[in-house]
Parts: sequence; C-alpha cells; structure tokens
Amino acid sequence: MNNIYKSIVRLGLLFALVIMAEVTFAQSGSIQERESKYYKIVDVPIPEDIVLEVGGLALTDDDKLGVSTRRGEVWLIDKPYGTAPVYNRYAHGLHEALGLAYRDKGFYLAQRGELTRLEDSNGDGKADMYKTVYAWPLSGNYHDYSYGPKFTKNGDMIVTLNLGWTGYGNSLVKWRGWMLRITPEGEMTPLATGLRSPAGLGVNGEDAIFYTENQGDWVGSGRMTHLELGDFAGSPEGLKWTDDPRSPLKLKMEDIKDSSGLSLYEYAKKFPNMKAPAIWFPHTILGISTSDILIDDTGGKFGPFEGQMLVGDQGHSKIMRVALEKVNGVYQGAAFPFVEGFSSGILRMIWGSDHSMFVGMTSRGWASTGKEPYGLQRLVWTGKTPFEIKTVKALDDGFELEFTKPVDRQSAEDISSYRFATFTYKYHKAYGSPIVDEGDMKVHSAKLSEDGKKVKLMLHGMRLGYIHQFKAGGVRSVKGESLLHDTGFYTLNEVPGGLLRSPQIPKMPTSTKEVVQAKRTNTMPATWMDGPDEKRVVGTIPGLKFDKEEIEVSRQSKVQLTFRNNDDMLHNLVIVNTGQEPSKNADIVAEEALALGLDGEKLNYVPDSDLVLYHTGILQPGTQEDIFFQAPKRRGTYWIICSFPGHGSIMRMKLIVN
Amino acid sequence: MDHKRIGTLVLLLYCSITSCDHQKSEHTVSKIAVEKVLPFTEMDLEDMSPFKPVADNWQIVGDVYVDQTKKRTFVQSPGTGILLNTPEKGIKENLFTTFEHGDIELEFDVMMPVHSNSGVYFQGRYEIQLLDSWGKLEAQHSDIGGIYQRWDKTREKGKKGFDGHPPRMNAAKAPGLWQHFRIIFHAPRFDEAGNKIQNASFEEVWLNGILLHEDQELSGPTRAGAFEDEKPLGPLMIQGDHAAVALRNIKYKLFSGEKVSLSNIMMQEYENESQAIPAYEQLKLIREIPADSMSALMASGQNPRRILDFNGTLNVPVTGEYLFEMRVSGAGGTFNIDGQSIIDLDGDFNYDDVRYKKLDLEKGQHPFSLVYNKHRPYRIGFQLFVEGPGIQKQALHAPRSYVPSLGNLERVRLNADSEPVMQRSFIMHDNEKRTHCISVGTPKKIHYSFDLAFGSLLQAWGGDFLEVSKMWVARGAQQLGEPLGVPIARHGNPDFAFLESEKSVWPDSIPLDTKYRQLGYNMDSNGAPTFMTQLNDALVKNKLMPSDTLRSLHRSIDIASGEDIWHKLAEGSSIEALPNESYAIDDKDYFLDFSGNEGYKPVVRKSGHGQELLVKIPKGNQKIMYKITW
Repeated sequence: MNNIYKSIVRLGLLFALVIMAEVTFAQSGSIQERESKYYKIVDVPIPEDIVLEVGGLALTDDDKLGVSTRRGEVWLIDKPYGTAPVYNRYAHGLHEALGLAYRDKGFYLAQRGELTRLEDSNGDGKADMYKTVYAWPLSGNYHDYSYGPKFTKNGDMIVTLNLGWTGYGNSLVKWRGWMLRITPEGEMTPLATGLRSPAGLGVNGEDAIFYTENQGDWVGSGRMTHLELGDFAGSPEGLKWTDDPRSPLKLKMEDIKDSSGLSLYEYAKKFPNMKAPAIWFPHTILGISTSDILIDDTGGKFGPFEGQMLVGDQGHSKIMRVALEKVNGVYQGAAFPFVEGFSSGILRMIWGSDHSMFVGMTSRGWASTGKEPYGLQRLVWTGKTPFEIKTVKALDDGFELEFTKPVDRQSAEDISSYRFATFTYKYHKAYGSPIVDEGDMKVHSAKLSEDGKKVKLMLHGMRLGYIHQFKAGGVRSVKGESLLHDTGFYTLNEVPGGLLRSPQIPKMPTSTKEVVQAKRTNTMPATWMDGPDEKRVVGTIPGLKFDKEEIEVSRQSKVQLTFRNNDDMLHNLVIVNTGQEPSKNADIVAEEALALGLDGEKLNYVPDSDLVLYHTGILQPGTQEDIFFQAPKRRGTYWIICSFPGHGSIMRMKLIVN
Repeated sequence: MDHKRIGTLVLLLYCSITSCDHQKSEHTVSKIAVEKVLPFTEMDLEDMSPFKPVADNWQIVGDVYVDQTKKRTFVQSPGTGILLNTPEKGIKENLFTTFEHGDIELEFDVMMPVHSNSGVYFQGRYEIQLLDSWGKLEAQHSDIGGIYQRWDKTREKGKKGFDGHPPRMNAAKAPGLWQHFRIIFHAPRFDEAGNKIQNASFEEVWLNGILLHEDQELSGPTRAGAFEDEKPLGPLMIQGDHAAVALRNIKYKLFSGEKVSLSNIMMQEYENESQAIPAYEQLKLIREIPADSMSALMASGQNPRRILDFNGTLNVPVTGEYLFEMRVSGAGGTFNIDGQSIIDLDGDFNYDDVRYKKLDLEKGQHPFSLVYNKHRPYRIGFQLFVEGPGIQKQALHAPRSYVPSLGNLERVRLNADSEPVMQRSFIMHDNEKRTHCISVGTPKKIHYSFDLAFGSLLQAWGGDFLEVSKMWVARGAQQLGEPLGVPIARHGNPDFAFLESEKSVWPDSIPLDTKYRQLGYNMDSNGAPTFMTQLNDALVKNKLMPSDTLRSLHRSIDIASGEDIWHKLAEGSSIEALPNESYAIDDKDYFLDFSGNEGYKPVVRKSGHGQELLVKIPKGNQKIMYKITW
C-alpha cells in the first residue's frame, strides 16, 4: 500500500514537471525570444584591446559608468547607453576588484586584501589617491575572493569575504567566511559569519542586509540570507574566529555536526542566531552560482516589479526575480525565472540613469552558459507588461498569488490550473545536497479577488521550513495569454499568526532505493571473465576541463573507465553517440540535461536519450567512479561531456573508437 | 589541486588586533647540504702561478673598490684572492692560463671599473666581452656578455666586423659591483685530417642570473683573439691590454668529450598500482623487450599504472668519481649499479624530490637496473643524470622521458613602456608568499615591489617588468606577479620599527605591540606612487623613483613621529662602508648611497643573515633620501 501511495506521489511530482516542459514548448519561440518582447538584452560595445572582466559596476554623479575588473582596472565609460561609448582608464593595478561603489566623488571597492577608496583629486580623469580604508589578512589561497562594498543607510560599507579552498571551504586566516561592516574612516566590525562563497550583497529600503550564497560544502543549493549582527548563515568555517573579542557571536565550529540529517531550517532552531535562508534558488533550476542582488527602486520605470529583487547567476548567465515579504519579522518569499541568455557569467548589476539595467560579466576560470569570456550588456524594459505571477504571499492555510494582469476567472478558480509540491535540502558537510523529503500538496480551493488580479489558494500539505514549488500553468489572463514563467519557488519560514493551519498530508515513507540508470554500470559484468580489455582514466582540472583532449579505445573492447573529479565543483562524464555531426549530438544532450529541471539531480543530470551511450553519476569534488562498458561497434569520434547544467557546452573531450 | 600546495607554502599566519595587523610567524627552513654537482677546479689566486708569465699589469690583491668619479680605475688593498689588471702605457699584456682547454664549464666573478673594457677569450680565440655597460637600454655584441664580432680587414669599410652576437638583454650591474658569469663552451671538432667538422659554440652564457646566449655557434675566432687558427685545445685568455678589470672565484671543469653510455637494455613492463614496489611474482608481466634507451613514455596504454624495469650495461669510460641524479614525477623508482642500491625513491615522490649519489666507478662495463614505478595514472616522467671525471652532466634517460606538466601555455606579461605601471599581486619572497604587494614598473626599465603589509621595499630589478600569467590565466590559482628580471635581494622584514635600544633584534614581522595600518598611496603627476603607512602614531611616506640614466632607485622617506623610529636600510652577508657615506651591500651585490643626510649615522651590526644596516630617525618631522644602485 505504502509503495503504491509513494508511486502516485512521485508520479504527481513528475507530472508537474512534465507539464512545465509542455507549456514551455507549447508557446511560440524560445523562452529567450518570448522574454525579449518585454525585456531586451542590448550590448554595450567593448573596445577590442580592453579585457573588461567585470568585477564591479557603479554610476558616477555625471552619469558615467564605472567598471572595476578582475585584472585590477577601473574604467570610466562615458555615454554607456549608446552605440559609441567612450572608455577612459580611471585606475589600474588593483588586485582582482570584485565590487564597486561610488560616493562623495570617489569610488570604493574591495580588492583581495583591502577596502579601497579611489579619488581623482586633480580632475584629470585618473585616480591619483588609492586610499586603504581597511586591510584584512589573506592566506595566499586563490579562493580568498573579497566582494563589495554596498552601503548601509548610515554610510557604512558592507564587504563579504570568501572562504579559501583546500579540498573544502577553509577559513585560513581571520575573517574569511565573514561579513564585515566598515566605516569610511576604517573602523571595522565583524558583523556575521557562516558565509562560504558570498558573491552577492544587497541592502533593501529597510536597511536590511542580504547576501547570496553558492552551492558547495554545507550549502545544498544557491540561496539568499538576511543577516544581522551576530548571525550565523550555516557554513561553519568562519566560526574558527569567534573567540576574537570583536566577534559578535560565540558559537564554535565544534557545535555544528557534520551530518545531522536535518535541513538548515531545522538545525537553525538549535541556535538563536543561526539563520535559515530567506530564499532558496533550487540548484540548476534557478541558476548554479548566485551572484549580485539588485533592488528595483526605479519607481515602476523597469516594469511591474517595483520593490522586488533581481538576482544574477554567474554560471547560467541569467537573472532571477525575488518577491520578498516579511512575516513575523522574518524575510521569506518567492523566486522566479526572469531573463536568460546573457553573453557571459553575470557577476554585477546596477541601474542606469535611464532605468535600464547594466549587467557586468566574467567567466574566466569559472565558465558560464554565455560563451563570451567577459561582457557588458544592458537589460531594457520595452514598456510592455509581461503576464507573470507578480508576488506570492504566505497565508496560514495557503498562498495568495498576485498577477501582473487581470486573469480569466474560470482558469484562475479552477484548482487544476495549479500544482504544488514541497522539498528541501540537507544541511551537511558534503558538497551540495540531493533534493530530499519531497511532499505532495493539494489545492483545496482557488478564489479570485474582485479586481481580478489576486488568487487566494487554500492548500493542504504546506510545511514550515520547506521550499514550496508551484506552477500555475493553467492560469490565463483575461486576454487569454499564458504566463511567461508559470513556475516559482516559495521558501516558507513563517506563516502569519505563527500557526500553520494547512491540513497535513501524511508523510510518505522515504525509499532508500535510488533511480536505476541502465547506462551506468559500476560493477564489472560477470561475463567479463578475463577482466576488461582496456582501462582508461579521465580526470578533471579546474576551469571546467577534462584532463585530456581525447582517449582511444578499440571497437567493441571491454572498457573500464575511471573518472576522477579533481575539481572543486560537481561533474559527471557522459559518452554521447556519434553521428554525422558528433558535436551536435553533444549539444543536444547538454540541452536535454539542462531541461531536466528538478529531476536532474536524481538522474545525475543525464537525460533519458538514445544519444547517451554510457555515463557516470555526479561526482563530488575529490571522488572517483568506475564504469564498465563495451566500446561501440562503429569506428569514429564520440564526444564525452560533463552534462551538469551549464558545463556541457565547454567541458568536453573525445572518445576515439578505432 | 594547486591550492593544497599553496596551503603549505603559505607560512604567513596573521593576527589582527585593531585595524589590520600582519604578524608573521617564525619559521625555519631546514636545508640539508647535499652535493648536487661534482666539485669544480678552483683557481688558486694566492699568486700568479695558474698563469703563464706576464707583465706587471696583472697582480693578486686582497680587495678592490671602484671610485665612481674615476674612469677605468681601481683602489686596491693587498692580500690574495682577487686577480687584478691595471694596465699602463707599455705594461699591458694579455693573460693566459697555464692549462689548455677544449670543452669547458667556467664560472667567475668580475668587477668592472667605470667605463672599463676587457674580455675573456676561450681557447684564446672566442671572446665573451667584458665592459662597463651599466645603464644601457639595448645591449650590443660589444657590451658585457656579448660574443664579440669577428673582424676581416680585407672587407669593405663598415663591413669589416661581422658575426657578433649581442646578449639577449643587458644584464650589467654597476661598476664596482661583483658580477657573476657562468659559461659552458664547446671547442670546435676536427676530423683525423685536421679539417674542422663542427664549429665552436657557447652552450650557455649566464650573467647575473640571466641567460644571455643558448647554443650559439661561432663561425671562427673573434676580433683580437690571440690566434687566427682554430684548434682542439687552447689556453683561456683574459684581455689585459685595454683597461682595468678584476676577477675572483674563478673555477672550471674541463671536459674530455667522453660520455657514459648504456647498452644491452632489456625492459620489462608490469601492471602495478601500489606505491611500494612489490615482488614481481605478484605482478602481471605485460611485455619484455630490448630497448635502445630508457623513457617513461614506454609505459603502454593511456594513463597506465605500471612498473618499468630496465636492465642493461652501464659503460664507464674512465675510472673516477661519478655523481648520479634521479627524480620521478609523482611516482617511485630505484637505481642500482653492480647490484648495489645507488638511488632509492621507492614510494611516492614528486619532481622536487631529487636524489643524488656520488660514487667511485672503475672504467669498464657495469650491470645496472632502473625501476620506474608509475603508480599514478596521470603523472608521468623520470630522469637520470650522470656527471663524471671530465664528463659533462648528461642525461641517461631519453629526451622526452620527462615532459613538464601540461599547464596552460598562455602567457600574460605587463610592460611599462610609456608610463609607470602598477600591479598588485601575491609575490614570492624567500619561498614565502607575500599577499599585499604592489609592483611598480617604469619606462626607465627599473622596477620594484613594495610589501604594503610590512611597509617594505621587497625587491628591485632591471629589464622587463612583470609576468602575470599565474594571476590572469584561468582562475589564477597562484595569484603571483613574477619579476621578468633577476631582483636584488632585500631582507623582507618590516623596513621601520620602534627599537628599545640599539641592540634590540630587528623584528621579522610587525610586532604585536605595534599598531600598524596601511594607508594606501597617492600618485604624482607622472603617475609615480608615494606609499603611506602608520606605525602607532608615526606617519611614514615612501617614494621610490628610478634614476634618469642609470640602474638606480632613489628612495625618499618622510616621517612624522612622536617617538624615535628605526629604519633598516639593508641586510646582507657583509656590509662595507665606502667613502662618501656609501655602502656596498651583501658582498658588493649592490650599493647604497646615503650621502646628503646630515646628522644621521647609520650603524652596521650583526644580524641573522650576516650584517644589517640601520639608521635611527629621531622623533619629529624628518626626511631622509638615499639611493640603491646595482
């Protein structure tokens, strides 16, 4: 009985995902084409001799665009809105400046080792004062990236300091893994810790500070967390330094168990200052490496999302949209896809004076679905309002969805127009997390407001601390339009009143059985009495590369292939069938893997496709896996790819069968 | 991958007290003395006996000093150890060694007085030029380290000189400093009838750590050689008829041209995955074949894990002392001769773990075996070298047995051709990674690095500016800026400190009780920075400017301090006070000119590395200026 029930639930979840795919493809044009009706991506030309690996963006008082770069330059771009921007180098020689802010006729930026103010005192267009506001120690590890600053209301600056990497995120010197508050005079206060790879920072209108995090050890998926003085965001390495008298918290690394089986939300209940995120960005669905936070304070000049947050993603070259609300004093809300298809990896976003968005990008060493090594683009609202789910508000027994346009009553009040499900991630030392503890939800009723823009959904199966995946695929606008993006993810930390009234659906027993994938054979077939004919080893090297260009095997030989992941990211190895254009087949598999959505993680990001011949699972950093297969009959070139979303177009090698 | 290595390299441990303090933990690097080369023949400069009789322009002295205001002149003091030439009218002969040489490896230190000119002629015929070339941006064949041109007076005017070879760059140091040469020369070869069948050549010419020539063939004797013909042997000649020159530490190895060889090699290949070499009975033998050489590339299959066992005969051409050198890349290995273990690298060793073994071998045939345990699939390579009596160091492995790792070959370099260029990066200093450094390059081709976390001038060099490939290619896992010249050695301690007394030990990091703060830097209208730091209440400003014409760096320091502060000017194996408030640092490696600072009295005292030069700067607003020249 239990098993049958479980299958039904699983089917339900899968069904929801299938519908998502159907609707996506039912509309005309690619998602990028459809998005571009409302938001257009426009290039800001970059002269050929400038390597504009964007680390930070800031607008000056006279409407010039300042750009700091990973090569340590600051460029001032005059007329950045037109087709003939003029570039002048304002500063150079800095150490990988991954941030930029402008105030009092000067720039502030975080270099690897310090917060710096740049000033041009003689007005010749070049900085002549490089003032160290505050310097912090560095270990010498390349992974000690430093980000910021962003200003708080009182004029203090916030910077975040990345952990080093020694096979795991490691705080090698003081304040790595911390968020610091620094006054313009250079007084520093350690604000909060638990950070791992905190590339994005934002301060909202209420002076609340948010930061974004990348998936990694202790971090199951990308996320955004609201941090206050003394908070702990979950990555324990920074707790090394809590015995410093300046530390605002006393929690120790030893207080955190490597593997408790709990989610971060549950674990955070143990300690008053431990913070669960306000928003989860499910890995590979809403990006893979969350970056900048930009708050829409354009007063409606950028479309219907005033007050919401736009969050960049480096690896997937796209922007997500976040509608936050504060319930019982706790931030939480919904994250949606917004616009994809940028030219390189998005690190920074700011508003131009014309309320278009500047998007600054780099992918050197990090890779991104946008193929350019670096780029600068603008995102311009066309003036047309997309039909979108504008906000989601938590109720104690459901959610209220508000749309950007009046909706058709019949479709809105039809409970079959909606699908809901819950899941979460594990909080543990391992790299990333599978999707765990999935739960079914039922829509009990749907009621449209009088103005026709809001739908109140009464739901069964809501759970505090879980990500609520929702889809409103059936809802049509009064003009019959489908939603531009019909899916979102609400992170539920609190409900109004504090008491959840949504009726619970009995929890299904979790199965330990994993999805069996026929093309992944990890034990030598019993029929290989003499062992494998050939053994091959493939490794990875940082920068999304396999450690060799090609391997050769003889046709139909029995091959034992060992895949070793030496990188600091997750990777798999997929052998793709050859054909007239083997590289095209690899493209297709990479795209299908990207389209797997939430199921991807379970399936090792390997699509069920005839083009896939053999594959490994997803490998944690520093692990290896053997697969056994018989080499194809047909001589020729076969592509091997890593089909992890975002990697497949770059991380490739050849299998030569001869 | 790389970050693990960085983790161990990084021995900087930081504490942060108030604003930002950088404290370095003490650490020691233990060095075990291992003979890595066979000894050279050192020329005994007690007297003139190593040379053929010569006129009195040549003599042995104890010390020399160059007065920068006088051309082609030394000030000498009696003693031994330095070979000095001071030619005068009628007394200016060239000097010849009593020995004759064919192939030779030669090292020596040379000092050139202002505008002086000399040369070293191999076999009395082929000249490496010695000249005071200090400060020249472009070097000719007639500059120091150049292979001087040949001369044919029958040719038409302007074409009489030919086949000169300029050095790759001007590596000259200032007159009065010791400069170091290392040269490997090969004599021409002749057939039995005496016909030349191979030209003479310079395999390598190094000056002050910079490779100036590589495998440069010579079509014949250069101008002003002692002989016009070419021969298998000839004496070394030092030019004495032009101008004053001093040499010391002359040492050499004469090579007979004979080589150690291998024959009757059999190679057995086994499958193996263990790091310790197991008994072969446990292993699967893949093949056994005769081989003409030994190479790691003979491991079959792709990224295999194998043992290669080479057995054969080592043919020793002459009885004497031999030195073997072996290394493996992420592997294990052993080397035996006559059944005796010579080198044991059984286990897991990296390319840096070099093993040496010196032993006496009789002329003749010796059975040998070499085992290469390639237990890591994607690491490959071993090397075995030998050096012997009259036998130049040679490889016993095949040329491609070790291939440097397949790193990214993209290179990014910074130039400072038209204006000063600054670049912050990590910098390696004495095997330590410094994390808050800035390098400044100038169009005068004088460059330096400043450690902002210590307030110290870290290094200075001439030539090209900075390699940034380890920072700007891919993720830049090292984040290093690397000088494109050989920097002069600086101590790397904080340059400023509060000392309790003149006897207090100089701190090797910012002391815990000093509140240190980096303040950044301002640039003048030419783009040259002034670095500012604060120590307690003392404000220290440092400005470094290249000399307009010569290889010097001018340093001006402004201090506003409520208490006396000390400045460490320099440290080295020795510090000599010269006239006019100048100092020769580190056995005349560079000069420090402290003249013009009235009322200041630098003190020379003993230090951990020899001697150090300190000056006390009284409280108040003070300014000192000095010049570093090399």
